[in-house]
Parts: sequence; C-alpha cells; structure tokens
Amino acid sequence: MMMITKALKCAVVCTVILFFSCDGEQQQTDKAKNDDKLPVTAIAIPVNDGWGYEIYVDNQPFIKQETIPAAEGFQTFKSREDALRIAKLVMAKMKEGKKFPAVTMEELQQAKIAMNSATSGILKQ
Amino acid sequence: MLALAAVCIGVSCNKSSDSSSDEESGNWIKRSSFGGAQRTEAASFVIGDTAYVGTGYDGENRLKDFWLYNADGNTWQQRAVFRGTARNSAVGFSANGKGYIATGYDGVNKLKDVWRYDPSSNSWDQMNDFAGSARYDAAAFSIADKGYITTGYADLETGGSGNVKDCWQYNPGSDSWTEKNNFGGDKRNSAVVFVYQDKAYLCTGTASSTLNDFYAYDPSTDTWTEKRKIANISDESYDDDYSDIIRSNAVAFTLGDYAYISTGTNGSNTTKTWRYHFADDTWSRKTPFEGSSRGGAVAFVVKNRAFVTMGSSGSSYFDDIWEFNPDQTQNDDDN
Repeated sequence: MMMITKALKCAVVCTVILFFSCDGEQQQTDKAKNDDKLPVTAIAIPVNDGWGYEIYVDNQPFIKQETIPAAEGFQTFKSREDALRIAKLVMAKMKEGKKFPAVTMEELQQAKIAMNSATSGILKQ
Repeated sequence: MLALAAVCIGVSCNKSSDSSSDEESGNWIKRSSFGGAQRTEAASFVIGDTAYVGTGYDGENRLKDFWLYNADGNTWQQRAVFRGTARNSAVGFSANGKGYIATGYDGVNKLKDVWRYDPSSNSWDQMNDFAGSARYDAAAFSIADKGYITTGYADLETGGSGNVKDCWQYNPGSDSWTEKNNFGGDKRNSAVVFVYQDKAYLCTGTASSTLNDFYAYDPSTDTWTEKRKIANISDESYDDDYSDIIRSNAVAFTLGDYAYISTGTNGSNTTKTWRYHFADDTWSRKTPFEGSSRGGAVAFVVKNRAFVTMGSSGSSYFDDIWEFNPDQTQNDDDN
C-alpha cells in the first residue's frame, strides 16, 4: 500500500512551465543576453510524508526545496497544491528579475499554506 | 598523491614565468545562480559539507533571507529566515557544528548582535552580544571550535566612527567573548582572512588607502606574526610581480596547501586572482576571476571545492556562482 501511494504521488507530480525573461537589464555580456529567455520549470516533489518543489532554469536544477521555505524546522508542504502555489510565487519573483525569489513568512500566510504553528517560526517572530 | 606531486613541481617550474601564462593557471567554472536576491556584502559559513549564505544588500533593501547551497546537486534551498535585523557587511563563522552571523550594518546603525544557526533544527537563536564595539566590514574566522572577530569599521568609544583592530574570541560553550591581542597591522575594514593549520592569515582591506601588510595569528600563543608585505617592497626578486594583490572587499579561501585571493576593489573592481604559498610565504598569479569584476562577494569551500558568488559592481548586483579549480587550465567553454 505504501508503495502504491508513493508511485501515485510520483505519477501526479504536476509540471508547470513558464517561459520568461530572466531580467536582462543588468546583464552586460553577450553570453548573458543569450540567457534572457531561459525556460523556468517547477515540479512538486514528494518528500517524506509531504511535498516540496524543484525549480529548474534552462532544464538545470536551481532550487531544490524540501521543506517550507523561510519557516523554521523541517516541515514539508501538506499538499502538492500548496507546494506548487509557492513554487509559482518563486517563479513569479524570478520573472520580475530584480525582486528576489526568497519567500517570506508573510507570503506563506497570505497563500494560506498549512503549517504546524509550533514549528512554523511565526510564533517566534 | 601523484597529482599533488605534479602540482608542486609545476609550481616550482613556474616561478620565473611571465605573468600572462600564469594567468591561465586555474579555471573558473560557472555554476548555478544564487537562489535568493542578487546581492552584495552577504554573510556565509560552512557546517560540515554544506555552505550557508544569507543577509546582504540588493541595492534597495537589506536582506534577511538565508540559503543552503548543495555543491553536489548545484542547487539552493531556502532555510529559516534570519531572525536578526536585515543587514549587510555582517560576518559569518562556524563553531561546534553551528553557524553564527554577527555585527553588520542595518542602513542606519552599526550592529553588535550575534545569532546562531542550528542546522539540526533549522532555526536561529540570539546569543550574547559581541563584546567589542558595534561594527561592520569586520573579519571573522574559526579555529578549534572558537570564533574570532577582528578589525572593521566601528563605533568608537571616543564618539564617531573609525577603523579598529581589536580582536575577540567567542567561546560557543559559555556564549562569551574574550578580548585577545590586537591585530598586528594597521586598523582597517573589509579585510580578508583565511585559515591554515590552526593559524589565521589576515591581509588586504582599507583604511584611508588599501594596505599591504600581512599578519598571521596563532591562537595557541595569542600572537600576531608579520608575514612579507603583499606589494613590491623588497629589493629581492620574489615580489617583483606583486603589482595588484592589494585590494579591499575581496574574497579569500584555503584549498589544500594554498590560499587564494580574488575579486575586490583597488580603485576599480578587480578580477585578479593570487595564490598564497604557506610553505614559503610567497604569492603567484592564477587565472583571473572569469565572471564580472566585483566587490563584496562571498567565498566558501565545501568538499574541497571552492566557490565564489554574489557581490556588486556599481549599480549591478550579482547572483552567479563560480567554482575555482586551481589545477585546471583556463577554459572559456565552461563560463
């Protein structure tokens, strides 16, 4: 039964692909200009009893997020949907270029990401 | 072992070679971009085989996000947000399996708070304040599970701000700071420090101008010993080529029996890269940094691999990460 669950999780890993400019305004070299339209991909990944995400830039792994970012402790996302919601937020930040793809505790709350408050870091902030 | 012997022979043969061929010795390989903001003046530390980088300044805001770099997978993972005030020009060091970020600048005030990161719980705790005066652009290192902070641009007891050279030891067990002998050279900020065989080597940095003195610190005797100047000062020939080692806001790291200095600023930003030979207290040129010239980068070594990332040049802020392999020949194909 465990095996089946795991296989199912892998099978339903959702792939989101966005093509966008990676902020060429500060790039100076010709090579960097060629990087302007790099494909950025996000997938949800099963981690322990929950979910994380991976973000690929030009098909190369860039962020491998196995816990909820910014939060203390090692909580995983409780659902694939939660993981992808934050992965999309990170990609949107990358699309904006100058705005950094770090996630804040406030953004996790706004996105209504389910967390165990005792280890979320919110109480400590 | 054979490879190491080959390298040593290569070095001794190179001693009289001209600088242009030396500058193809070593190779910079572009890896992933930083997972967080493009930023400068970040702080980093290494715990075990994992590097951590966080805080810094992106041109608009001081930052408090904090990231882990996995060298094997070449991926970043965001960790618990730094719980102190967002800051730049802080120092990072590790001791007893935990990481510390201390001092820095929040845009208004120099800082003296100290925060400990525990990788086993992915969490931050505030420790006792640094016992020296609040400062930024200090230098920090760790030896034998004690941390050290020295130099920097500080609030002065007499009022105002200035460069300092006091040196403090942090004991993680008692969470306490003890003053040690002052750094042996001039007061300064934005120096580099690197550690080899339980001694710390501190050079570069700036006061009213970039500085060419160089000292090694031995914690077991609490003494600073002067090394040869890092400029063409002597009548001997060993330093004839030492035209562009001095700088400030550079990075330094130790790999094997050598240390390396790269990037930084001396008038303008530089990519010049130099190797320090601990055995005979001499420097030789290596392949210049192959990314954009910059100051305020960070460097770290994990699993015997050296990485340089982030930094700024004028209004450009960087997030690219470069690995330096000193044993390869320079190659454009991996940039």
